[in-house]
Amino acid sequence: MNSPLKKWLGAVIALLYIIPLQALPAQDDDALLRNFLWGNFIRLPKEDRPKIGLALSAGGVRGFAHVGVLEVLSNAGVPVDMVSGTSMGAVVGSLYASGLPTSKLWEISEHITLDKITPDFNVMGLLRFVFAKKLPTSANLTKFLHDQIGDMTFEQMPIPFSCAAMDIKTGEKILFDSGPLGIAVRASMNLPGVFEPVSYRHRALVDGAVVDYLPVDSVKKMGADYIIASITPIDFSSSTPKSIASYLLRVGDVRAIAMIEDASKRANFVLTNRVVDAGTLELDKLHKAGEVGVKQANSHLAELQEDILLFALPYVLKP
Amino acid sequence: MYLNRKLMIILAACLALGACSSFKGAFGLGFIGDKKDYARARDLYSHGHYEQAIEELSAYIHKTYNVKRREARAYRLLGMSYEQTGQLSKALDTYLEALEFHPKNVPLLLAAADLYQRTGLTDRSIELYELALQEEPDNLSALAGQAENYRAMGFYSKARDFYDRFFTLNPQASAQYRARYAGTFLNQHNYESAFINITIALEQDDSSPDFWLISARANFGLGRTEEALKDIDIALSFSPVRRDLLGTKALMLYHNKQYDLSLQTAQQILDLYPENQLGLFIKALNLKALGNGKQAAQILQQITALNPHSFIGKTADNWQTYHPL
Repeated sequence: MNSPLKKWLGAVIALLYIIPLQALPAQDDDALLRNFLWGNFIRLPKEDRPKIGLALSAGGVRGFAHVGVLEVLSNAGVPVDMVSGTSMGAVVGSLYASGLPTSKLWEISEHITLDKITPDFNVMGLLRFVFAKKLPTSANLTKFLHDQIGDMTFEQMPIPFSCAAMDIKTGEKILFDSGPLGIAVRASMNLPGVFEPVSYRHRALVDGAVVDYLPVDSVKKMGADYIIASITPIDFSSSTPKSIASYLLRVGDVRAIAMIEDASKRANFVLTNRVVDAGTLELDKLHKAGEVGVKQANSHLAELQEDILLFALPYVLKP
Repeated sequence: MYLNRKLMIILAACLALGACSSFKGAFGLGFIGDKKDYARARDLYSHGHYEQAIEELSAYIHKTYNVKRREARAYRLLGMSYEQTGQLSKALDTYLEALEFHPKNVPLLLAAADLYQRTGLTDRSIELYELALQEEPDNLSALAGQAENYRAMGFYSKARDFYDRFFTLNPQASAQYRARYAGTFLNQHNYESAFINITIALEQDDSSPDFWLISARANFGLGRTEEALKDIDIALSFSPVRRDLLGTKALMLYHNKQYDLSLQTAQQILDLYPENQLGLFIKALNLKALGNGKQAAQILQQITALNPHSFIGKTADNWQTYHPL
């Protein structure tokens, strides 16, 4: 532990009030009313309250912070009526919307490895890349998703879900909300320049992050009245690209910031998860990224609940 | 010649001895604090003479030149003495300095982790408890501390994993731990498990208004409002002027459509805490329910005027906008 850090910590500690470890922290007046009204709100039938939609951004491993966000929202009883996700947001969102509990998502974070996404990160894959100029395929992701949720279609999902990909031939955004789920999710997180495009419905599909990094508009289109956006912007200062692939991904991340800023304006509430020091494909950092999501969402939970309640007050205080 | 050789040997031996003695501190062969000094410092600490204990321990620690040979227990006692005098940053510095030389010392790891936890630096506390659990996987303090960290973070499922291990190893743990465990269930809206655990805590200690409040909230969540109100009354018998208890009671009565009683409780809050926004809001809710919309509207205006930026102030303002009374 270096000395400036110790000094800083010392100063923080000297200023901080010692937090007593009570069974539950005493609630202030606002919290008492908020919890009471919140209880009334979550007991309202779905048709008697505004529909809440969740937009989960792309972000590679950083995107696993969405699992932490879902954990907090689920604990608080925030009703999630529809989900749209891009790239890692599509993976997390699809698993959640298909009915997997967050405990299962945490389990996945402990076991997922690159070979569950691609069969080509090995010597044969390298030879194929060097001599045949063919990128690795993300084919294993479809099997991985199948192992988790079977042959599910969008229509069978308990929570309506959509995800975006891009047709590399036309530059179009392709929004999937019907048909087989596995291949659509695979296409949504099919990193351009890292994996070969996914051939599906006569298109060559790559990661939707290129055109719809934060799918606020997609979730709005699904009928959401109130939109919570969970974003995982990159901290540019935390790392410098060192390979061709990471340079390409960094270009995407720079463009992503502009897309996040634009789309966030149309969300009602934005949860910003700052996951530092986690590369796009550093899968061993998934769990830590998830914990960042827990912390962020929990520290803004009261604010989010109040915002939803004020938005839904005509329904909550309906005579 | 013979004498000269003998003299040379004696001189060489003297020189070697001198060199050794001047380096022995550096090699850790000498200048180690006297154990009696430590014992004296420990007595000073146990008799509450913390400032003197700090002096004794600082001197004792620094007598040992070789930092790696400085005793972990002395550092820990020094840190604890600093904590007792409220010098938390010095206490933390002490623990962290000691951990440089004794990175696997569990009592030191626990002391630093606990201090980080109490000052809200949860991430750091988690790291240190993790290290302690690597050394001693069944360490109860580390398990309870880690559970508390994850609870504070809002990661209730992980907190419960640590509590589960803690209670398996220590089924007779104090009621406070059981109540915190119940709190994690309450935060997850798992009222049944919250109720079971808080009932166990109340069997051990039924004199805590906090425990009765948890029981009330669990019962309320289970739809047993009458039982919840009984629990709140018991809590109030211990702390009759606690506003959160009175507020909870008034809101539960309102929920149970006992408007007159809720109004009385809201008035009780206002008698104790005049112009309290929550008391006023509950009063307005009940007046509206009892058909006195005009007076309710006046109160809502009063709430907004008192503080338009609080959640209660904003709710009162919005209420008037959406449902004019």
